[in-house]
Amino acid sequence: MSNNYLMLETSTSNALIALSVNDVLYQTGIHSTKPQAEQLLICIDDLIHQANISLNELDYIAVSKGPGSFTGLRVAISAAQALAYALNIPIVAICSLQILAQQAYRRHNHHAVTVAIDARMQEVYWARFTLKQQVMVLQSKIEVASPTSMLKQLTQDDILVGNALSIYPELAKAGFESMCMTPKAEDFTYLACLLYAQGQVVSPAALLPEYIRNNVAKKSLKT
Amino acid sequence: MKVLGIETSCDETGVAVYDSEKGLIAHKLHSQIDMHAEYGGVVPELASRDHVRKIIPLIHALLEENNLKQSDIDAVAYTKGPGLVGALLVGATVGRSLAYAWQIPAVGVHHMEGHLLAPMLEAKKPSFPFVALLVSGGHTQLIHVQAIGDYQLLGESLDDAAGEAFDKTARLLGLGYPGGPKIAHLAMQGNPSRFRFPRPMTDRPGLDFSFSGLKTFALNTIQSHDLDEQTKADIAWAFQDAVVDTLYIKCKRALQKTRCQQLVIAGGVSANTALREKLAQLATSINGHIFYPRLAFCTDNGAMIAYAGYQRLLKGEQESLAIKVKARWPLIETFD
Repeated sequence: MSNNYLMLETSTSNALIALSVNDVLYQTGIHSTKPQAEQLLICIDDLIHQANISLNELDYIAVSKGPGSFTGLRVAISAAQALAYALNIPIVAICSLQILAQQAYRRHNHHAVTVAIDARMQEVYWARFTLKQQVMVLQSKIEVASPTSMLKQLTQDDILVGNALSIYPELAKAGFESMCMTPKAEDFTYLACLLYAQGQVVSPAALLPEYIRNNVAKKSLKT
Repeated sequence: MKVLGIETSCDETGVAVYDSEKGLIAHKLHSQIDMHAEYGGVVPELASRDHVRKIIPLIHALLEENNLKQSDIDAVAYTKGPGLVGALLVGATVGRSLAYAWQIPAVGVHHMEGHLLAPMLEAKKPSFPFVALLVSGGHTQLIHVQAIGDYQLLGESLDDAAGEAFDKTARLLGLGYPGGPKIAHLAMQGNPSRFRFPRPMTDRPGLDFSFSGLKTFALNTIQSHDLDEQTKADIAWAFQDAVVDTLYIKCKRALQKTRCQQLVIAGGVSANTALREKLAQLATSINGHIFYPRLAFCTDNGAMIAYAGYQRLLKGEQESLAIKVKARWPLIETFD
């Protein structure tokens, strides 16, 4: 039996909001220039109407847990928490980098990639993924680092994907096989179904963003 | 009608349920003060992160502990601004999304209107019209309140808010954060006759305030004395006395100007005991009455948002599905 679930991915400015109902995928456009929070519920409501179901028919909510834009993550996660809590359904939390790694496999049959997305402040979030039973799996800890220091850790045959390529010219120029890509619903849906089937769900209260960058403030020096 | 109120504009996660028949029936608060104290002030990113962590468990506990079901809630009110944009967004997104899923109305509330109306949650509450002194870390305003939403600004601070002056002076004295309670506590040991601080802008007509000069005066006093414990206490006393006296003088003028006999004080600084005592004297001297929220509702809380939200719903206000917050948002919109 197929499930009905909502997909929310707002970790970058290329937001993805989609709905799967009886294996049919519904998507709606979200403007990259308007605040995501202003559009989120309107888009969800559009999808629910398009699919002609009610919110109560959702089985779970799939959300990108990061890393990515702090505000973007919190908007999708706060909404997912509230909707799941109100509808009494679980949440499937998916790594934002894995969604891109899965795309590299689906579209280009790459079995190992390094995903890098913009972390602002002249840094990227990055990690390696390799294929295991049709799924791109995290191979290393997700790191936040300057593009240069990430490049130093790559080997010659690494394949680089993610939006960091369009933002840091040094990455595109470094000579790796590379692809700038944005998250797609096909991969999100694939991973969501898989995790849900494996029972990898969290309760709304337990869902937290994965920020990766945690040194966000300096402690005051008491005299 | 039961309204769930959500407050996340700064460093407290507050949730509450206001019942139009029974009054306030539930409230809970998670304060982040200890977390921010290490940094000497509120760190916006950390505040946002903590709201995300705490808000759903807090709402869940609020309902459970008070034998309320999700289906008992008829509307959701949340703080729409002013405040820290990231912190506001968490409460607004959760609040608006809950209302969407529950298929009930949502209303965005002005944080300062919440404070202004907080005394309405008490057994002893004012009737319209009254004069309100909103006094917090971000605001010092005198407002003539004729009805819900009918507010006339009588005067406000031209620079620092009173609470901000408390925080800055506390930092100069090495007292840490938050400064208000620390200065008030230290002032109890102070010698009232040692220093006298100026009463800014009281020597001319008008109801505006200026507190930045007091901080400078404190700095000069600190620099020209050996800062032993007694001197610190004496400065704390003199500083607090100057702020309280200045607020007293302006409140008195505001009551005279509006011919009101009811004075409401709200906002974080309204918890200050010296201020309450002094303004109580003022009320007595004019055969009037003073009203303030219970101490727990002087600082940020969900109860005042639930109440103000209910009042706004009665006026027919509702939020669309677009989640919007306003970091800056004057309580009294001025049209020049």
